[in-house]
Amino acid sequence: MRLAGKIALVTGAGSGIGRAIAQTFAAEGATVVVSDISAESAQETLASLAGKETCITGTCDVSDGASVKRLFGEIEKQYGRLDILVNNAGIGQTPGDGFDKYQARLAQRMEQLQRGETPTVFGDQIVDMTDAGFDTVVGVNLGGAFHCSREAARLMIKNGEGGSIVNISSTGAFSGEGGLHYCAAKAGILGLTHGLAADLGPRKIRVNAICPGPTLTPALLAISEEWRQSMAAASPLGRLAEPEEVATTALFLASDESSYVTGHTLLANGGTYMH
Amino acid sequence: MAQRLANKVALITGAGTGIGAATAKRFAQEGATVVLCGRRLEPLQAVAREISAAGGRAEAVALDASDEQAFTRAIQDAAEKFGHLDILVNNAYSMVGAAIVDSSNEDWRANFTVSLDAAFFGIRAAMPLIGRQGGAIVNLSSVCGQLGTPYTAGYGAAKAGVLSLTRTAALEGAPTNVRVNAVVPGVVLTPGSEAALPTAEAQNATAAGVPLRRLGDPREVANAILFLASDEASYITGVALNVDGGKTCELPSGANMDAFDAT
Repeated sequence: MRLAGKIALVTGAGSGIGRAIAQTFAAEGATVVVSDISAESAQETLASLAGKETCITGTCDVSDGASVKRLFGEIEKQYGRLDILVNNAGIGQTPGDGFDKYQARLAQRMEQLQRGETPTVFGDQIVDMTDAGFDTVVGVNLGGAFHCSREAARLMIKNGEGGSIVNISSTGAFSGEGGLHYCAAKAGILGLTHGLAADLGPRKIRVNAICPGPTLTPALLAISEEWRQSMAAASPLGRLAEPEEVATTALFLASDESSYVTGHTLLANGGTYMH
Repeated sequence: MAQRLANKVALITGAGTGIGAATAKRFAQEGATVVLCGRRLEPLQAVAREISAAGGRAEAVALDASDEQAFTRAIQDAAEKFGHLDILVNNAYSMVGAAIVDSSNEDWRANFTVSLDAAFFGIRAAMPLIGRQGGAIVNLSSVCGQLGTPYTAGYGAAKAGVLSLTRTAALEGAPTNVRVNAVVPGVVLTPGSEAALPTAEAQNATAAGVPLRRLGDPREVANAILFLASDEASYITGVALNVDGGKTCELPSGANMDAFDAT
């Protein structure tokens, strides 16, 4: 087993990619700390894990530094160490951020195009984006990765045996698809990854990022079948990713098999975006 | 634990030494039947013997990968003999290192014959065969293809070419589920790099410019190739996976404080 004896924290592990990562890691022998803002969904994930007897849940709002500190206090008390951190917790949008107005305009524009008219409506996403909405989305996606990485680094340095941090970014960091706040935060995660990798390399702490493409998570299952199919068609592999495919990618980066990989951004998007 | 390349047939070029040999052994451990290609038969046979002794399956085929006909034939023979071909690793390379102002046309072109031309020959011959059932192609690039590195103009250009070839081949292979990716090693201790960095001082100075503060081991690159070749990377195509100890996320000159101390 490739993660035997390792203690791994996965944030946002209550659903989607985070849940798949927790399951894959547990199946490879890791003891997983299943963290989510929702205690119920964390509990559901925990119940599905191999070796769940030794795993724990940790309810945490990653955007809140104090909440993250409490979670790490619990981890240190339970296990005394941390070997792997997966910064997966994230949100795409938040109520009142203005993103809904942008989507409504895009729908209007689509109707104009379908009627054969020259469109007079544009996306203009930034026009209605609120300060609070921007701060919230950046605060969870980027602030959360910062808070957790800081506490993890403290614990890993104290332990002196190195470790691996895997940050879940997004293809949106490059393609600009989705919310501006989301894309900005996900691109910020890549800068955080590079800076941490360079700084923590001598400590044998590796830091890498994954940019998944469209993946069949609850968020994507909530959109229309038609929309999903158009996303699948836009992928060269002609399909969407299963969360398990992102999880095996995270497994590679978390395990010793990637022992000379750090500071890297690994695209896992079916060829949708390449660089 | 199920073997990750069970029932797969893989052909690897430059398999007699260094990264190619490490990859062949790693693939065999995971259950693949491995066809080892390289110019010199002896090192290939030595690797094949080692694989057989460990209970794996391997076969050695001496050829120059830049010999289009010989390489194409070996790929077709492998698919015919074993019934299918699932994985191709374009690992063989050619390199003539010299300053640009001291390089002849022949020096320049020699960098491309194996590093880039052979990768093209291999992809062209293997893609339709691997596409019968789906599979993976992994091309070896180099950080020299991403950074500026003095005295490797032709080699770096060829390895940058490999990255472009990888992306295009990924798009052309996707409809038949042939994933095409590149691995981008940094400085890894192989016979080739040991010749370029013959002293401990030279190796230490290079290591000081890498965030992990050490040079890579061929087995670490082999693990990355295994990942991309296996079904665990089933949604990954067209990427360049760096195995460089973080070299490319620091200044290309290695201008961190440790590197100052070491030089």
